[in-house]
Amino acid sequence: MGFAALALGAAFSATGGNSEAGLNYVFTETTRYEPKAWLEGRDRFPSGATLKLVLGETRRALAPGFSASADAAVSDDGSRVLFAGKQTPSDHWQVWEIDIRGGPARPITHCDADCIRPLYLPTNEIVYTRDSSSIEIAGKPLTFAPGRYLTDDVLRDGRILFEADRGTQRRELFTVYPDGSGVEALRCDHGSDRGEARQIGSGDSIFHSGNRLARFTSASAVETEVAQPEGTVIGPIAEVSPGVWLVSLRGRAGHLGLFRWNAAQRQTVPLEASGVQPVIVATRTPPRQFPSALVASRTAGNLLCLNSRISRTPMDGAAVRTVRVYAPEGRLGETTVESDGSFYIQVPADRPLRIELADAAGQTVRAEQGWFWMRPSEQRVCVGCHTGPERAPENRVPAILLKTIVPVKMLEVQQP
Amino acid sequence: MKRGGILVGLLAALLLGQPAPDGGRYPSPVDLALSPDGARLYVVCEGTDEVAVVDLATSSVIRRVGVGHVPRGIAVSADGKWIYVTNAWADTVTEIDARSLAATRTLSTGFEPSGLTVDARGQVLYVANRISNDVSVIDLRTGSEIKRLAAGRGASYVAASGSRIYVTHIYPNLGKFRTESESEITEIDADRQVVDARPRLHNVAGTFHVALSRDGRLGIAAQLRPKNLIPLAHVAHGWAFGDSLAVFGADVGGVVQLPLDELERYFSLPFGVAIAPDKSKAYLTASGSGEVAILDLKRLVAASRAPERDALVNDLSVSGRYVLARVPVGRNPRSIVLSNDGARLYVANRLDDTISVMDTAANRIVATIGLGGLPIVTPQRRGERLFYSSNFSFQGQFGCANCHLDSTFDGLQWDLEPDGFGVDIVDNRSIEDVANTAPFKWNGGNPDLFTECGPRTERFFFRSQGFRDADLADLITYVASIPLRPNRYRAATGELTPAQERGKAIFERERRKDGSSIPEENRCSFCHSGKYHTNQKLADVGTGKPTDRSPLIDTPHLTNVALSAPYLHDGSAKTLEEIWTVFNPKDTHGVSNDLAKDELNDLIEYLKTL
Repeated sequence: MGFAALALGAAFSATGGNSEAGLNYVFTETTRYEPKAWLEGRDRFPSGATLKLVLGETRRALAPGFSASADAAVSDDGSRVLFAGKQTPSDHWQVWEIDIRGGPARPITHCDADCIRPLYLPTNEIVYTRDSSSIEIAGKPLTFAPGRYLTDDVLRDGRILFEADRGTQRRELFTVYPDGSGVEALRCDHGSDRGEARQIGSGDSIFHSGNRLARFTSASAVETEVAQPEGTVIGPIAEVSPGVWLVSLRGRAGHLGLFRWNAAQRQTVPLEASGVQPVIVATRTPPRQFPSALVASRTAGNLLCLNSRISRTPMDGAAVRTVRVYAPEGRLGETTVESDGSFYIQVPADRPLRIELADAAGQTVRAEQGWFWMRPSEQRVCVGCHTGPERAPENRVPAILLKTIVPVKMLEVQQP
Repeated sequence: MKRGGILVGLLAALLLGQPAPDGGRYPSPVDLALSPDGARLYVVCEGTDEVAVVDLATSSVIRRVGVGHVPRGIAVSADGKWIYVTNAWADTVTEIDARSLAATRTLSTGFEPSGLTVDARGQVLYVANRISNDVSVIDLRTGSEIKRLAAGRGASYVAASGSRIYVTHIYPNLGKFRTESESEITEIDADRQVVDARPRLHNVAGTFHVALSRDGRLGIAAQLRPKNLIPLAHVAHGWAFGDSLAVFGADVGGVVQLPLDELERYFSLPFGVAIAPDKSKAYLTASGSGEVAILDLKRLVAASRAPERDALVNDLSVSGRYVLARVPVGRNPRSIVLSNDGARLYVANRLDDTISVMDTAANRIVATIGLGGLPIVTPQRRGERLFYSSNFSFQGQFGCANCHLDSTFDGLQWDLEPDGFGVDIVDNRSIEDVANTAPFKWNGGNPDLFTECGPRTERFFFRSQGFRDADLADLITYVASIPLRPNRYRAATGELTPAQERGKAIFERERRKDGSSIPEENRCSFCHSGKYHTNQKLADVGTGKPTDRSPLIDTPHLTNVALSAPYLHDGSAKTLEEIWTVFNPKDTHGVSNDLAKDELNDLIEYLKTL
């Protein structure tokens, strides 16, 4: 196989991880991986999947006795692995945890549907995807809008990175804080179908955009190019060191091979004959914990928009006079937008919400395409209407807060 | 990392044979200057009250020259014969003979002299005074201050180009309540020794070092744009601060503000600035992030001249146009200076007591020069490092020192309340000598510093994993140790002037001018009692606002109250006088409506001595 002694990158420390003799990683051995099957409620591994652990020159099944296993995530201390597993073919996928050294796997979830893609949070909690329809921690959902969801990674700043299809038949990357608040798109350039994202040591996120790998880097509001190997990359990458990744490539015959890809040398070295979802086994600095400020007993959240008349996409902002908020069951309310474009409303928590801006004649100026949600007592602020994460706020007291500090309540669906 | 550690170790060993700094203190380098021949680096060590003289051939400290208390800025005459150092807490400048390295004169300045420069002819010294908000013009032939030019608030840093002197300010100018902060670049015509222009820096609070290109056509100042007028509901997307720079001069035309932050990575608390001699690059330190940014000046000027230039400062994707790299250096990097050929950049790492040496061709640190100091890191020093670090806030956007600049205040009012927007607006106050003034927060909601700085800060300010356990204990140790700046209005003997005596009598009076008794709880000296002039209790003095959730206000301490305008819990009183003339119509905040203007002036004179 030609294992090289690989230096470890900034994301991984030299202790407890890869030895001088070789590379330590986990991967899913499979002959067939359909990364978007979850969008249609189908299994991503139609021909089966088995996690394999590679420690230097040794390799073994990570979770022997399981009918299927996939979606490995290694703990920050490098000692444990979370995975999705089925003990029998007819079982639902459940989340399990196992020690790298071996021993019995411990059940984490007892879902009545498939629970997949587990990830460690720095609080020792575990986030995972349930039935492709919600993201959960310990059975409590973080997502409250219709759509398909799949957990991808936990960013170093503590946010959960996930991919979702919110009814457009196209995946996009989103983030949410571990308490379910602050859900938003990672970027608002909304390009090709995006998924299978992982953050690397530099802080960049590497993901699939259409049928190519692409990058989000902190300095840019749009995706940027990534040097990539010949062939079609399938599934997420794993960073070995800066510019050196483990990637899964689909060969001409359709089988999946796992390779070490050196971008600078443009060199691809085969590692495994059939494998996807590589994860490096090493210690690494845990992500930052996110201290939730939510009050669970509340039933609503507050939303302040500084200037609904501005957007990163063309919009007749000057025409905006009112804002309407909708739940799936109907309109929750409408209120005036102030002269500076600001408005301040209170909306029900944990329900799908959609905002629409209207002109003086009541005609829609801009309507959100997808649903979002707010958590109990969440205090949410936004710069404008789809201004993008690159837009920092202007420092000015919003006109609405000079008028009142009481939000307009839009808590119940209005009767027609 | 490893190489850096070895370097530091080797250099520490080298230092064994070098002059040792004052035992028990950390040098804490804050400013740098090079001798004109480039052979020596003069390092201002604010912690040990000295200038360390570094021989750059051997990278070793060859002398330590004692100066006044808390030195802050340094300038070298063009001929290299004289070194001038501001002593911020002594209100003086020390003149040093560069050849003998002996202090030769002590020159008087305004309050808290900080940055300074010598005019091109070497005859006049311009000194920015942070507390008196002005610039001392000192005739170097006589050593006398011949003029005092009004600057902006918190005048602190100075750069010269030909006959133009540029002054920047650590605090914003006082403005209307809850309006955008305004700072300025005070431009002085050195030929006429007058302030010639005051270009505005809109929505800027603190401005730090300023540098000019050699041809004088391009100026850059490091600056901080606060977001204090919008609720701090989250931190993401530059919601708390905009780390940025002001670009000005003939190359730009006017003043343009440009960002240094990125979408998910912040360049926290930009401080030091240097421009390459060939005008190819600029360098800035981020004192909170511990980095040096390298900027391409052609691209920076292009952005500064772009048609959309006025809209760029809030765009977090713009800095990628001109920031070439960010290089990690030591903790709390402050001033930087380039060698004459621009090949080396020297960085003062205040909280590491080191100088980083950057090879500007390779954009990497090639050496670290140790300045000595305490061989151990005390809990207080650890706490100070935490205080000045931005690593604890979401995506590293800010730290304690963003609002408490140089461990003081920022002159701003913030909308911090987590449970509602526009509620409980709070004025940021100085934190010097606050250890014994519990409770904390304007409504007394935090019984001790652990509550003030712990989970509350993490949850509602940083929005990320903050200070815990040992870190929090260290931080509190530091905060409790922040010393009090000398009071400039109280005579060293403690004797009061006649006006101050009259004001004291008013402060302590028990009867109105008509002879009627003032209820005890309505006397100034009742609530403002004791060593810190606070009884540490809550009171409703009628200064609450409809947007406050409670009318009860924690009685604030009055230590050095003259420095920290505006006043009242929400900063609505622009001056001390407004506390009584605008916000005390019913004599609920002490009895003041029977006092004449002169008597209020006397009261203020007394308060300034506290």
